[in-house]
Amino acid sequence: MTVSCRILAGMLVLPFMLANAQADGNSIETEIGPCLACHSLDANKTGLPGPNLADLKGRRLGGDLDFGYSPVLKEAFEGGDVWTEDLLDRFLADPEGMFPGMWMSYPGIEEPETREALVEFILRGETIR
Amino acid sequence: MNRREFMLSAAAVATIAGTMSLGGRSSSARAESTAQLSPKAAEYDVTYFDAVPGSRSRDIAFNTDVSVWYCGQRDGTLTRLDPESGGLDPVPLGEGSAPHGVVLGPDNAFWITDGGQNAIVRLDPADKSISRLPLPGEFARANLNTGVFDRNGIYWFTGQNGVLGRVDPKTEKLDAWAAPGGRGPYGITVTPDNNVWYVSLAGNHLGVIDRETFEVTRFDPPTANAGPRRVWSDSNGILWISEWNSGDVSRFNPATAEWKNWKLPGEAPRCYSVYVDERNKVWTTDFGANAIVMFDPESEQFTSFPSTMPNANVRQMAGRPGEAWGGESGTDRLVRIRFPVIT
Repeated sequence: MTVSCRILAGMLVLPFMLANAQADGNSIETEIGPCLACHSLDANKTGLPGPNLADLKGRRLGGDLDFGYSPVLKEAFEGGDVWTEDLLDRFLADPEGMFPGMWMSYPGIEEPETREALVEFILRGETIR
Repeated sequence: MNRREFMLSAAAVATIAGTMSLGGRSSSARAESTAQLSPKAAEYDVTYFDAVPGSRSRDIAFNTDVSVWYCGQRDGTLTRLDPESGGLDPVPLGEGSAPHGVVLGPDNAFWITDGGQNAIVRLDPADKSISRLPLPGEFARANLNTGVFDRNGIYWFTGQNGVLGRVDPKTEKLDAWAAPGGRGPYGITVTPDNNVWYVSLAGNHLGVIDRETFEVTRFDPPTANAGPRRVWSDSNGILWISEWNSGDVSRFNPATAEWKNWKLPGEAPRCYSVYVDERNKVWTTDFGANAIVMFDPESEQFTSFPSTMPNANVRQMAGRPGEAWGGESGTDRLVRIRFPVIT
């Protein structure tokens, strides 16, 4: 954890993120840990179990062109919608509720504060390795 | 009546042919499938059972009676299915529960990796009593994944956020430690000679855990970014591994450190799970083909069982004599495939 903490310490957004972090007191790097088991915010990471999340803001749903998506996300891509703060927040609350049948299996995050911090962090495109 | 039965007439066989190449620390071989399909369904009987709507029925385990219990990852339950009546009996596991994996322990209780509660949960099916063993604070959001009992009755588990651990049920002492290579530990299995093996999806390795020191010896698959997701031992201690990124099913022989890989049939296979039955036939699930795919190591042929509904997403399989089972997490169903029992 110390490496990631040093990375975070260099970010101007650190006070905001930690102040808002999470209802149960976990750091942002702890909260995003489950996401990073399959995804990355580092644009150079390829061959992941899930799509890369770098530069996600404004990107079309199902829009990592190097990743082979599930049929339900391929259909979402055709719809043309893009990732926004509001959409990502609703997605994190109940991923499979938004996209039934998607390949990712994650039950969602109930705490609004946690989702807010994650949305802020992911859409800023910051990197935790 | 929740039970719906379908006799599949569209199961198919894909034959494979390949070449071998050796090299590196461990030898490996790859066989490319040619996906020549032909009907072969007569000896299999496929039955679907409804789960609780919205539950996202996934990993399953068997009680000592006829019942099958599944993790409702989205409704926070372990739910009993009576395959004879189709009846369902959900048992809520606690606030925030999101069960992922389940096994029946030697104490005849279910042991559950509950990512939502970040705890190992024990459910006694006899009286439905529940107890929890939370992970230590330094392993918050461990993303608990799967567990297995070794032959001494010790429970071993993985957390996808880079955690390995174990519980001694007699003392309820839980040990957890950081996995080598960080995030990724997913499937776990025990071989007949009582070695505990796991695979790391993001860490792209197979590892064996020293049961005394907890140290791990790694074996990397020959394929870069293979994405090994689950692992199962056959009756001879040969390990079978489902590779999510490569779409291969691979075999690893611990005695020789030899690997061999087979690409699943189809355009873009995504090999999610693996289970080996008592005949040493290898059952995989392929999200790309929306199918359960059985591999016969002797003939090197695949038999495919496409789901009757889209987006089935079978994330784990297990079985008992004459039956292979999986949870269709995308359709809120369970599927049973029956085959002749060895006598």
